[in-house]
Amino acid sequence: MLGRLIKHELKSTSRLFLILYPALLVIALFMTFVNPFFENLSDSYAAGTAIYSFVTGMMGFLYGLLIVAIVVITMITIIMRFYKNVLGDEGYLMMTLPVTEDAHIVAKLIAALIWSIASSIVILISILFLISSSFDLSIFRQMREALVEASQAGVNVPFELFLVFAFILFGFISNVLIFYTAMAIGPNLTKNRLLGSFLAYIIIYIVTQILSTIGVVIWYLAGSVEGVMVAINNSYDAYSSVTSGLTMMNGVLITSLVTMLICCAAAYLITRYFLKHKLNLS
Amino acid sequence: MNNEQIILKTRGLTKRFGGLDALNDINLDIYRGRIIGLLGPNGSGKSTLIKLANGLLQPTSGSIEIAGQRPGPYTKSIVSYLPDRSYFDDWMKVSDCLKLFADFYADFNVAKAYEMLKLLDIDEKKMFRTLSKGTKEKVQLVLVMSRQASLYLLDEPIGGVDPATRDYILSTIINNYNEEGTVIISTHLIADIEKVLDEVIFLNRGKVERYMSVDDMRETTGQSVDEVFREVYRC
Repeated sequence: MLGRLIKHELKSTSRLFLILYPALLVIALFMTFVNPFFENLSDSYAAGTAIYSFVTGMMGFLYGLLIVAIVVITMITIIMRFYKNVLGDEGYLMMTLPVTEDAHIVAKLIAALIWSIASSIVILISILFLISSSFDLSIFRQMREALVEASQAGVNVPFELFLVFAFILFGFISNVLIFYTAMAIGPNLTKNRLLGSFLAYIIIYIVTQILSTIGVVIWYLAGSVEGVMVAINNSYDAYSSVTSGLTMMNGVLITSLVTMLICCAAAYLITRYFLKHKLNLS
Repeated sequence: MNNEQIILKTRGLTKRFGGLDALNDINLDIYRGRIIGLLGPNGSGKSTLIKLANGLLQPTSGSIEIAGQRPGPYTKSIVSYLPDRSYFDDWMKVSDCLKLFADFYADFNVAKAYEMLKLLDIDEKKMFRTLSKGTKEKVQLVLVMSRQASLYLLDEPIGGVDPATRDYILSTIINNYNEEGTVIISTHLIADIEKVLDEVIFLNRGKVERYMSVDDMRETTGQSVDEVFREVYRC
């Protein structure tokens, strides 16, 4: 059932993306292959210069606009889909399907993840097009060398990459889940659902800020003692200063990760509770 | 009759909104294979009862069970619900919605749905945003009645349509429901549906005023359901 829900989610939210993605890629391709043609033109004819700057200016503007549109519409789609489909009139259809509240939340979350990844990939590909003429493949070699060098210096490269990846993934998931939570709580706060959702979001934001500030202070106090000890012991050892700096960074990453995981779990459980017990479609 | 035959059972079912009792201590045993009118003026609790049965609301106190289970994925798989509003995503095509129903409801008969759409002259390739309110209502009814459900909960199915369509909707309901299933129709337009009902439930201010068979009502009062209704709810 979860698979079917995800399929249905993607289908229902694909409309704008299926226009924006190809549009961005076409513009990027145009800028890559057609702009140089106008550039040649501007070399040969005096009037060509005006045409050249007009076309490139126009294309650059469109390109920027589409990037902004894709980023904004990805966010709006993720938020509005939940708001309309679960809490609006569409909820009368969705929430009477024979599936659990868990399946609804997970399906929407996975669809949100898929669209965000797809948007990122499409934007990345368009950038690759743009820089392809001046692109130097040796950058990959340099990156690999840097990684080899790092692992020789005692860095656990796969582990670090995993940490950064997990940090981005759960940062994203916790943000989406907090939006869901705010919208699930919202209708219980005020008669006006939208206003209620905003209020709930602000309250959640303040609470998480306070909690994370407390967390950072505790972590800093605990860490600074240890940090000073490490610094004294290794102050003249260049090899160790790389790893101790990394230990600091890993400490920050792991602490943030744990905080995010707690945040995700709390947001998920609250959303689930409100959908199950406090749903009140207008 | 035994418990097996009860499709909808409520005990002390109460739902409060703010300080107001939308439903107050409702005790019902509704059996399989009936067509039941859920009657009452606006605000008497009809929609609240139906929403509780669909798990769209949770009771303040008391219980509601469908085929012996509290509302959840299982009961949703055997209940076919027609809400009192359009629930379509405007950018969906009619055929998309048929696919959705086929994907999620094992008892959905796609062929039957297409047949009914054809009869109604509705183009399944159209998007919902291009359809009129009345047409959307018809599509919704087609979806709901193409299921072989154990319990049909129809909330104001004939509220917003003209008399000709009203007759069509009623005949659709009568001709298409699963014979072992029970149909509960909520409405305040009694005269139109009286002839198809086996039983009636009168709701008034969140309480069950009467629950009896239409034949008994006619025998004991010598009046039609419509006449009794007008008497009970006289202002």
